[in-house]
Amino acid sequence: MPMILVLDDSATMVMSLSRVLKNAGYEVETASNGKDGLTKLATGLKPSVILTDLNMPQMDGLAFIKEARRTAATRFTPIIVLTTESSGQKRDEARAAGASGWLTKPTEPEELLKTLKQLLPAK
Amino acid sequence: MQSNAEANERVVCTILAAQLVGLRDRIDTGSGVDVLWQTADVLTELSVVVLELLRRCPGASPELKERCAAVVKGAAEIGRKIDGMACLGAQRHDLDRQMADCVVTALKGLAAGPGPMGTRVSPADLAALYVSDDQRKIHESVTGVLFANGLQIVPSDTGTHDRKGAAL
Repeated sequence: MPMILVLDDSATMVMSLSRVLKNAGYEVETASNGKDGLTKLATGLKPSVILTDLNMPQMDGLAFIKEARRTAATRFTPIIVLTTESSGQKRDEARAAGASGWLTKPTEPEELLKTLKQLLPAK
Repeated sequence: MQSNAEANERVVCTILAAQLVGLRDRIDTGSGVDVLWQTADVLTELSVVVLELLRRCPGASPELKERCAAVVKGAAEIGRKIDGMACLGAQRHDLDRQMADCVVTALKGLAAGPGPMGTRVSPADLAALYVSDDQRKIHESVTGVLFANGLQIVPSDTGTHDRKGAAL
């Protein structure tokens, strides 16, 4: 079962995303910010895809992506940004940092699942 | 030394920021998402009960078995849709919360930022805080009307464009 690591500082967002992903058959791990996400990854967590917000306290999504790309275990792990940010500049920054995909909140859950499916390696 | 007008402006902006923080916090907690999750969970539990009752009733007619299977399938489908709806609602509330955050940050900049009244936050500082196109459209629309009416702004030398707003 593919595992998705979800990073968002809103507990409601984390819970609602987890439910949608679990309904679709994914295993889900969560983190409340970039620092928390890196800590989880450092314990040996190997997500198939990482889904991250941008605006988070302590360590934001961009810093998290940059750090994750410097780490051997997550260098090639697909990272989707799911954020309220809609500016082209932020999108370019995320792409330059190593993001694989970008979804702007609010995104239909079907769209999110479709994007995940595209990024997951075919079985 | 601050003038009375400047002190008043700082107090008003501080109060407005605090009130907006209260409103922002209510956006998250009053979203009703909990009720949707509970509904989905009850549907799941009902399906489990229906299947268990059917298992304990070996003499059930094929018609009843078929109806139970249809109910379980329907409940699973509706449960997924409810979770999807809750997820979409949570995202909208997150966007609303962050839009409110921008205004809070700007008001805090006006209330506590350095410099005299009128120089603490510029329209460009404000624009740098936006998270959505809706905010940018409103900004353009408002400034468009003001400039069309002859308003002129001398660029301020403030503004670090720090979105967390500790020192706008």
